[in-house]
Amino acid sequence: MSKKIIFESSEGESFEVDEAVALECQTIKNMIEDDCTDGGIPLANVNSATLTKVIDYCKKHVEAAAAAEANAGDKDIYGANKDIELKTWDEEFVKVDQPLLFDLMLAANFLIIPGLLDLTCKTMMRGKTVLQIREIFHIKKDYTDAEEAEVRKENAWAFE
Amino acid sequence: MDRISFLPDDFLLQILSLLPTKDVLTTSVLSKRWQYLWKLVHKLEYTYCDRNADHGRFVSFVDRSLLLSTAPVLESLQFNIRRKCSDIDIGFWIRTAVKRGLRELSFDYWPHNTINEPSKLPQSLFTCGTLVVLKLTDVSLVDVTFPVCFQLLKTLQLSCVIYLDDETPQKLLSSCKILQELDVNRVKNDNVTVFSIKVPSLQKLIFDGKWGTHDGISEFVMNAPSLKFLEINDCSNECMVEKMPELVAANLEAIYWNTDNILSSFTSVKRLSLCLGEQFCTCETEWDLLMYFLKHSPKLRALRLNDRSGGIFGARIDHWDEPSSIPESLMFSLETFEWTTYRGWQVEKELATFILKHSRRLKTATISPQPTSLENKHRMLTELALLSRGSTTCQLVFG
Repeated sequence: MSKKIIFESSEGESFEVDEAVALECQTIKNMIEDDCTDGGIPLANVNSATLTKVIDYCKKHVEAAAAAEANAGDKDIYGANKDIELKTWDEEFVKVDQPLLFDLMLAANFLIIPGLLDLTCKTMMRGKTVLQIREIFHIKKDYTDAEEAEVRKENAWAFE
Repeated sequence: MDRISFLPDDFLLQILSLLPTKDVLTTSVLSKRWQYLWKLVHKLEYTYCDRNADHGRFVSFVDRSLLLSTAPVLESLQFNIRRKCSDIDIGFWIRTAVKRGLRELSFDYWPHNTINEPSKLPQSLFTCGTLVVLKLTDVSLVDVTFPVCFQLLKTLQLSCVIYLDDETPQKLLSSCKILQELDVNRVKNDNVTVFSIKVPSLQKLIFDGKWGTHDGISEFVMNAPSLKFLEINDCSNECMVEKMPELVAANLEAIYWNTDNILSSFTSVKRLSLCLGEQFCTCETEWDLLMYFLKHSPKLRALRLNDRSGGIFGARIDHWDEPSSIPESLMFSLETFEWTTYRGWQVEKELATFILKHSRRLKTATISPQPTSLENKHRMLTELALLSRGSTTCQLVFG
């Protein structure tokens, strides 16, 4: 039976996970190494919905790594088959609404999960127009029309 | 609420660094918070494929975004160009980036619909001591002055590169003291007769030499004692491979006239993929070669056979005598066996019988037939399903 780690979300809800899963988070790994995880780890800035997703992500990646280790033959010589499957899983994983994606990105940054941080950052703005970005992120235009025209003119070479 | 604009600069720059440079620039009109952020982005990525795009605009776009960039270190510069650009422009871009402490350059320049002379890149690139990753496509190294300086380089890709002579790759590689990954894709008439890769630190090599010849002659020489992963796709006349005691996985699709010395270099391999379409060696048959691998690779856990040439594999014999001794790898280590171009010929059936019967650790055997009638497939499946299996837990997958 593997050791369990208990996370506590900002709402006070407890989540029990295997130590191996928790170790995917560099921040938690450091805490485990310093032996200060008894009595649970309060994550005051991660809500339950986000934490559930983060745990899903870590679990999947731990399982994938273990499967790759166990079945040396289930892949090509670099383990490419597994990678493709995991990549597809990742792509599906980030098909969530913008606020949750944003929370996931912050959580990945705070807990230091490089793979998840990269994945969420990549998904954040890719393939979106300026208008879409403004709308999705509620970015308020604080340029006057004249100022915006000026910025556009200055960088006109980029706006074609 | 606008949460994203409240993120610290570093965080926003991380998000922006994952976008193509053109998209990064457009964020400057979002709001004042974003007006100058683009200048600090440490990765630049340019794509120029659109046939209708205005050439002058693209050139000035790259010029300006490179010159106005104020990131303390330029982490990465990527070009993905399919239209003609002048060596002068390309040289200017690369010189500018090199001065900024460039760590990664990916130069993928392959203009469509034009007869293109390979690009000549500025000498300063070859003395850029900060580079960690260098990927070159369709480049001529004929005028490069040696010695070059790549003391931090870990990953090198040479795709369709023209060299001055046999010594160019040698001199280039000998200056990469900590190189770990090398990917070579040779092109016809690249001026190299003997392609020599001698890199003590190398861990992964992909060598595609099937188009690379010089006056119709080519040889492949390799000495990479730390190698863990090897992929060869080659048809050189001669090859000389030194021992690779750390090798974990190999993918071989090669035709050599003389392979006597290559065979003993694979003893530590755990995963092996073989394409034995044509005569790979001076052995009597491909089967003998396969048996050689099984016998001399006691750690082999996964074996995959394929035959992309379509039909020569095993065609020279119609009967195969089982070897008198059972290879150690079959008895103690092989867990996965895959055969992707099975035709159900008598001689193939004999080989399948042998492997299934003697592989005591086998977990899965996946046998995929070549396209054939449903009736034939059914016959093959019935035959295979009846074969006795040395491993009670072995699962047979057909299809």
